[in-house]
Amino acid sequence: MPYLHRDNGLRRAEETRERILDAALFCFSRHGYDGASMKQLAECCSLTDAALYYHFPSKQELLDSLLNERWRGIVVPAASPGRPFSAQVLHAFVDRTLERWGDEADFIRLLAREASSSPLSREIYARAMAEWEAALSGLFDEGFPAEAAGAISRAVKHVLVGLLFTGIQERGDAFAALVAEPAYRDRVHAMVAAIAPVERFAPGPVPR
Amino acid sequence: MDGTGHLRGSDTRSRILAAARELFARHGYRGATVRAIGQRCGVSDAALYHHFPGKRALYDAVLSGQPVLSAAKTGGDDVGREAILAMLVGLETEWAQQPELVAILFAQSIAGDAEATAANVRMRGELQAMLQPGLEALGGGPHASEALSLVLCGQIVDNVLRSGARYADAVLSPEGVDNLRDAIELILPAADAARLWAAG
Repeated sequence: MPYLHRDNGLRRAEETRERILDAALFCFSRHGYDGASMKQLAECCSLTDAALYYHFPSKQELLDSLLNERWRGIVVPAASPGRPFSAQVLHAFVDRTLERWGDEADFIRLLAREASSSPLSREIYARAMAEWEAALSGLFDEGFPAEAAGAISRAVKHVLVGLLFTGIQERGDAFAALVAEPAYRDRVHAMVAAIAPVERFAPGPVPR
Repeated sequence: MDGTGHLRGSDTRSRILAAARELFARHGYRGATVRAIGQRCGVSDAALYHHFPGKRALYDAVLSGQPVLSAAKTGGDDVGREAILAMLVGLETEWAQQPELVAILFAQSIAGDAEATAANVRMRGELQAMLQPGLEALGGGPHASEALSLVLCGQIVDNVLRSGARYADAVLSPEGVDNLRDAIELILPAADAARLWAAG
């Protein structure tokens, strides 16, 4: 029985830690790192200051843990491997991306807020986007002209980051709801179609 | 007023503006106070209000330092494409010299500053209107100008998140300019893309 108790204790500690990270993400993304104090965060999680400091010895360590542990959410798995590349495959990837980014809007806002002051934030963004871009590049067939694939990937990335920025800008906390709206999806697809004319580079003879 | 007095007046004005740019960039419209701006540049409240009637006037003056957009010249295919590219690169070059403006228009906006968002939305609307005639003349579709202004915006945001205050180096690097050139080629009808890339 003592072992069981210890397991429960460990699990509770782990849960508390995650709860603190959730609260920190909420507060830092809305009020900034400087705008949220450890005292407020402790109150937010109904913890004593001492209990909070037990899990995270400083606010800086709390921010760094948040960045290090929560960034995988914005990376999108390539999915459906082996499917021949087409505009539909690209659009499906774009949809999955926006869903992910909608769910992770707080984390993205945190990255945007901390970019000027936290080198770790910049590093995490670069790492997450590199993985995301690798998934996007993986969609193209081998026969697809490599330079065109690179140009399309970069253009799609920039359009999506632009849409992400303007969406969070215009809707703030409701960005996830915006992403789910059919009219918004249509607009996104129109933008991606305008910037990624994949049929132009389809392997085989170009129809005249 | 003699020449020296006038000079001193405009010197004070530009000092106030520099302090306002800095504090609006760092703390946003709501977070920056007129008092703090005065303290930052060592100008008394009375002197500051003599130059600017209030915070709103200060903010507008800072934003009026944005590069003035003018429509890309339309011309033959290559001329037109190069003119659009030159316009985008020119805009980014001017922004690069004013990192505080970029902080206001992009970083403060995403942080939730309503004033910064309004300014950013206005700027994008103007950019799109300026791009539209040139892209249309070159055969761009109905979404061409919106898509291209999103690419520009996305490229800046991507580089701000990646490089912080050093974003301008990346945006204006040869790769950054190539990205814009590629985007223009992708958005416009195929002729030149076939020339640039080995199309299927």
